[in-house]
Amino acid sequence: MPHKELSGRVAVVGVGTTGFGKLPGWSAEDLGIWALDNALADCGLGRADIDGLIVNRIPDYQRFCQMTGLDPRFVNVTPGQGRMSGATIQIAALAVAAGMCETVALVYGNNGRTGGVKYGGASDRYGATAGGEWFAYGMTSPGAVHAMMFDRHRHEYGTTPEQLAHVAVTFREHAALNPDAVMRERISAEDYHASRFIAEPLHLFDYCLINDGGVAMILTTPERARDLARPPVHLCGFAQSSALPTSGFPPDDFWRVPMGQVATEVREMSGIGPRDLSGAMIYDNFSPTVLFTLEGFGFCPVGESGAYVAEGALALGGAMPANTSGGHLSESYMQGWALNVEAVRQLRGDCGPRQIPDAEIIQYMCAAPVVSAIVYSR
Amino acid sequence: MADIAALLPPADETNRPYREALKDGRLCLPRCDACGEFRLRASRYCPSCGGTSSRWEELSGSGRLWGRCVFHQVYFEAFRDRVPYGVVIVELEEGVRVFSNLADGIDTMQVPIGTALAAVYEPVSDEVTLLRFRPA
Ligand SMILES: [Zn+2]
Repeated sequence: MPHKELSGRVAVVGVGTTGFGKLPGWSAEDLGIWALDNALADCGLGRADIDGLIVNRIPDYQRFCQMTGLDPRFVNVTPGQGRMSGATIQIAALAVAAGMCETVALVYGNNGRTGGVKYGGASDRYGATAGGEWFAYGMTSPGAVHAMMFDRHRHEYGTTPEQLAHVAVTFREHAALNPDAVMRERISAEDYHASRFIAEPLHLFDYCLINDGGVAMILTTPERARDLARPPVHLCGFAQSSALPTSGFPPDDFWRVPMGQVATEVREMSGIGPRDLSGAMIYDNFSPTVLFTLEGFGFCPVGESGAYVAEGALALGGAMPANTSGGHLSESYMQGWALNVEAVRQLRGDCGPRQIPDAEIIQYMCAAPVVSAIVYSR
Repeated sequence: MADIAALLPPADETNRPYREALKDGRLCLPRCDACGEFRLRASRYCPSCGGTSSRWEELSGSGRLWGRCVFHQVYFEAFRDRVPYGVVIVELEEGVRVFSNLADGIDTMQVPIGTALAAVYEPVSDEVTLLRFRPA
């Protein structure tokens, strides 16, 4: 696990987001710069203060520096997959903690909606079904993989579509309170069940929203953070694990083994477990992922996530308010990045009508073939 | 049906024996000489043990239904007239998994997870036969 003494040694000092939606004429780099400028303004730093840079979904770090004048000592680019957002934040934290740079900018830009990015069909190149080997059987898309996983969960534990509906309905309820969310009209359980199937048993509302947008975060040392405009949010625990060799097919255990490892490590590093959290940010590419995450990280016993969400646990005011921005299902699919920003905004008390009262500690979690988690604290 | 066949990536040395065997109504996959594990396509190194020697062997064609879903969304023009259609994961007796379909006329969601299945070989063009399954 990451060394315990790294707990609290890095802080998020600036966050920035663009508008989300259909933004024709904006390249991934443009969207990243828009978000970066907002993040810099947020903490009162300038581009010259940035000595570390990791871009994600932006294809070329070199071109990005030519476009921005950023002149980092430490630079990297990570693959444009949602599972990589948490992992990228961890790399940045390690670089700061190790002194390879002092102030690192994480910049994400995604023009996928305008660019017509599709996760199913001939352009399917993410996840289990990439490469076209199964297209002749009609198999494609991460959504269909998650549909099969939910079907398995239903088979093994009796989880019902009525329970699953609570995830999408609750996150839409949160999005209604978030002016940045793309989908803000409340939906009922009836609306959910009446919506069309995409890959049955999953409905339209179980799928994340592909949109254009950008997100940026600025991380630095707690010492440097003291002089900056906004209160720092500290990374108290972080870890990752994976289940890659068998990732050509959905996992038998809903990624429970790697999630269990990560849960243990972040708890040991931070001293914080599920009971200590004010809220959770859960990677919700598809709503069943939320159920798998709740079980894998020990928020409820294995097989009981359906009942847990049906009790209203994830709602504001519930046992574990989650994805208060609306998440990927209703705010926008910013591949984990905007969920990490929402964690920071909650801990600063910036969230207006969707604020978790007295939020002190929030955990981000991503269940996928690469699992990651980050515990953020005021 | 030729349009479905066109969705297969071009045949190459990693998959040609598999595809040719399907046309003869047999299921053949590469098997590692060192550890005995089957894999889905030929490769220089065995993913399980790193062994460099393997041969094509025939499998039983028996397996169990691991997972199911039904596509309502049209992702491929070739499937526009076929939605809704089922896709399944079958775990073969020998341990390998494949994405597949149940044979024509079987309602996928009516076949429970865990059901014993047997291979059926369904030609979709002169050149291509697909590996599908029916309850054993
Ligand atoms: Zn081997």
